[in-house]
Amino acid sequence: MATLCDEKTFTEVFRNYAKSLNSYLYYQLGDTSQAQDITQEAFMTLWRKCAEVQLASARGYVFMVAKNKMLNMVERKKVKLNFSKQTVKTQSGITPEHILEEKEFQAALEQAIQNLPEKQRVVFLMSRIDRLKYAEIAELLGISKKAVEKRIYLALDALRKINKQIP
Amino acid sequence: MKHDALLHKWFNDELTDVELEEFKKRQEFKQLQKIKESTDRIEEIEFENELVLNRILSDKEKKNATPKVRRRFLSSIAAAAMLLVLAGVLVNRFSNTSIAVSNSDTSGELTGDFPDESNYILYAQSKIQYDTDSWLTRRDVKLEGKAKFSVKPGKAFQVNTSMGQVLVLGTTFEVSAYNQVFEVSCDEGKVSVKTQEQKSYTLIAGEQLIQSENKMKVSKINQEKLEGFTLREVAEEIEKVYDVKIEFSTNELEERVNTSFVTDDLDKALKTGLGSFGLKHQVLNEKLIKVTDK
Repeated sequence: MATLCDEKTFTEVFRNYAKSLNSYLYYQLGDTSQAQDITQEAFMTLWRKCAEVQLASARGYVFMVAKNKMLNMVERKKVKLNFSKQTVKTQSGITPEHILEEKEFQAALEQAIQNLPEKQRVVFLMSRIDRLKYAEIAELLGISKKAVEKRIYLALDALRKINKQIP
Repeated sequence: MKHDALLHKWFNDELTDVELEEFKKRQEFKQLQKIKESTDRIEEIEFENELVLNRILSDKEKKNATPKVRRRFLSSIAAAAMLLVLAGVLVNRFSNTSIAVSNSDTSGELTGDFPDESNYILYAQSKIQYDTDSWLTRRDVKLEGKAKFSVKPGKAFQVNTSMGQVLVLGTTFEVSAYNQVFEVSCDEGKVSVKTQEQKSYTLIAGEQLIQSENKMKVSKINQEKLEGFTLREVAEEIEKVYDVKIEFSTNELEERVNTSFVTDDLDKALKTGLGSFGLKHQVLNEKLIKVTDK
């Protein structure tokens, strides 16, 4: 039976979940090195306690350890987001004006995401960027699926309004 | 803006063509679509996956990591509030995220951490059980045997035993457990104890509660409260507290009573502890007291 003490199994668990845990932490802390430190500590705890934690609850376990570690950290930085440089092809072709407009829009979007309440931002980005399912987010955050839907809705409703700022 | 299933299906790219046509008719569609397309271009947060993994896998402490037998107390316990619980057998169901730690060793102690860095020392022939998934919201530990806990500040921390429950109200504490005796002592902070009979007691630093069979003793800072003690046992308690010897000129000492006495005034203690049951005392010297029923 696969146990977490088996290096191969642990590695697989790490590759599956570490990145999304790191993102989850970043969406709250806004600090890449802090997020990575906590991710490392959380998985280190899992590794040390591999005999006590069942494979099925490994993801919940590292999220919980990480959440606990984060409780003591009050400082929050702005969550910075990078947009892919790749330009999107449109039917009208790409014009310099178009690129400029896109950049302005992205800056406005980034700012609007930063201004979202933390709870909405975390859920929105976990869904959108990390592609986690609502049910997964609900489980990891210890909230209901309905609460996830509500937060996504509120985030979308807030974000769509930035369209008006762009001519 | 409308909040319904269609919105979430759209957001998760799960719309059928027909549904999409329907969704496109919405007033907010264009704004939403623009947001969604732009967020699609947000890059994933950078994470040095392999570097972190290697650091963890090469962790030297790993080998001693799982609960290990140790014959010394944790030094950190000294500063912590301490709570001692002695209890009997406990039976409970396991959930799938439940963790059970047993120490089947006959003499050694097992130490370990809870997910939030609270830790425990598990004594010989003892077992604890807790749930990892709910730890953040409910710090419940089931205890069978004897253990000590040092608890990080946070949500309530509760120890359940077959003989009663201990709830930590303050910051840090420690627990241990024996068969058929329920014992809680608090060195710092504040704990609440609920016995099997649903009686609640709050202990502050320096206070202790011991329950065995039908007897209960609560040692408060300057008072000792006894329930179900015979008069002879009450006298023995007074002897222990004041380091004196009590002699009786009566044999009517087997009556079980509920009483209490102060711990800083021998005369008062004798008056309330024994005097209220018709026993009179006479201090013969500093170390010797005579008690009669006349």
